[in-house]
Amino acid sequence: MGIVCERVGYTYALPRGKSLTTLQNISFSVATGEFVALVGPSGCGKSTLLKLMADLLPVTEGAIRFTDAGSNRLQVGMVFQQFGVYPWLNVLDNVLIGLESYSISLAEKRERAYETIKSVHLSGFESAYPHQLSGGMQQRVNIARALVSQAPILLMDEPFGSLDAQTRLLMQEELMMIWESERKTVVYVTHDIDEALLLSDRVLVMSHRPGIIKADITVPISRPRHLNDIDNPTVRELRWQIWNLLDLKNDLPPQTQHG
Amino acid sequence: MELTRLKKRSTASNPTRLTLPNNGMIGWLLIAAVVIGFLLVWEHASQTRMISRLFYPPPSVIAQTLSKWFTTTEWQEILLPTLRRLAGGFVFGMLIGYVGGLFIGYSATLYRYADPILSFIHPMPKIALLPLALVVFGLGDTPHRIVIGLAAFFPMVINTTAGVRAINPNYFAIGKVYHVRPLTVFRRVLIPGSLPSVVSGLRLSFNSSFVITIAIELNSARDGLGHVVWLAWETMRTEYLFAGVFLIALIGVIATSILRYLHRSILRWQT
Repeated sequence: MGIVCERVGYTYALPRGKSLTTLQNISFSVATGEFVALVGPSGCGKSTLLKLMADLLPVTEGAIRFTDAGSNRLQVGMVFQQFGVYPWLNVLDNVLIGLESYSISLAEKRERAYETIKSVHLSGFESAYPHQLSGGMQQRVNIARALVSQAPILLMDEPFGSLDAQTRLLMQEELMMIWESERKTVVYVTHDIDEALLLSDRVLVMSHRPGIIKADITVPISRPRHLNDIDNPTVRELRWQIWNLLDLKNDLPPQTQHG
Repeated sequence: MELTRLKKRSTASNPTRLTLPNNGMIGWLLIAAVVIGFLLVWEHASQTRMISRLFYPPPSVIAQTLSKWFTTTEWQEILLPTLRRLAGGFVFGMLIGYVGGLFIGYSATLYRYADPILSFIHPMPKIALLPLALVVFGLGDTPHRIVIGLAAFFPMVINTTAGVRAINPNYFAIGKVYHVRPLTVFRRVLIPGSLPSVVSGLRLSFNSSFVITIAIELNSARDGLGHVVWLAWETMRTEYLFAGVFLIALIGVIATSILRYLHRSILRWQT
């Protein structure tokens, strides 16, 4: 299943008749099985775009369509950066949420959940509560829930943003392996350029107020990838190209420029 | 309060916390020694008339009064009416507050209308409503229970509402993404997510309705602990007064420890 965004905009109402446009005229498409990264400064609306795709917010302008829509019960699975696992449910129950809409027996649900928990290397932690797990393990639960739901599209909102550097690398490597075997369509929001280059087939660079897409860059690294694949001159140059596109210096508030 | 806190610290699972060795036991012994010492001094002073025996009857006399209450049927007119009133009002007001709070917290529209009204009435001491309740519901125990129920209702509805509203929006978003049925969202997100705040609401709700129960009994009941204490003051039967106050304190302590236990066992998923 792929995604097509056509002139998508998002404007929300503020008190006293004002309104704020956070996204404007966003058009791009993601092919089935493609891994696309959305990179941009904080506040550029990349998370909003993801929420629009997940139907968590209403699209106020344009349209978002899914292509090759199969007979899937669920179209998107989502992984949040924070507050993505229910602290009052154990690992198994957290993962089972991904199967809530399926009308299969509980035994079957549990079997699938156990299998998925195993695939994210959390076997043995089924009855553990999130507060007993590390940040990385909590994100594995989050990913397991999205995987077990069998949604063909995976929306990830800075899933490893709050992990320490080493855990992040480990999780990136594992995500690559999962993607290699499942070939889901992934839209991955991040503000980490290296992460975007390492993981994705294409990087969409956004800028903000209102959010627009500045560039659509294809990452020239072959699959399967390894962590050191981004350590070559071509990719390094690409990194600076994206950095310049982000134009963070001009995003500083005026008082800082004058002062 | 200090007693239970000391105990809790000694049984806490976190061994890195700075504590004196075995301070739980020492704490208990120390407290027991202080209390027994105080009672002995009081007993002696009262028996030898160093302090007024009329104002401060010896603890042994107070203990005899208590044992007399519970060996005869007297407790049925002293303790039982208080518990009955309290339970009736508290359970009723608390439950309505809880269910109401779940809905008010969940629905933004409902919240917009309910919040100003609740915030306006909540700070008011509910005992001030007793005369009005007497006018509306007549004499008897109904107006009492209504006022006690109101006292239980407000902390509960406000804490439950706050608890639901404090649930991170992501937890609802996950439910939406995976097409979780509304009833399941209620059961798996709304109820557990609001529980921390609900449990503290429960404690406030109990305290509030207990205070009102005793206040009502002091003022306008013909039985119950509050009534006994007030009558004891009017007739200068101070051993009744002390015995009554002791029982009131005991009810508070027992209820608090039950609620504390509940808190710990329900909220095991919290760190």
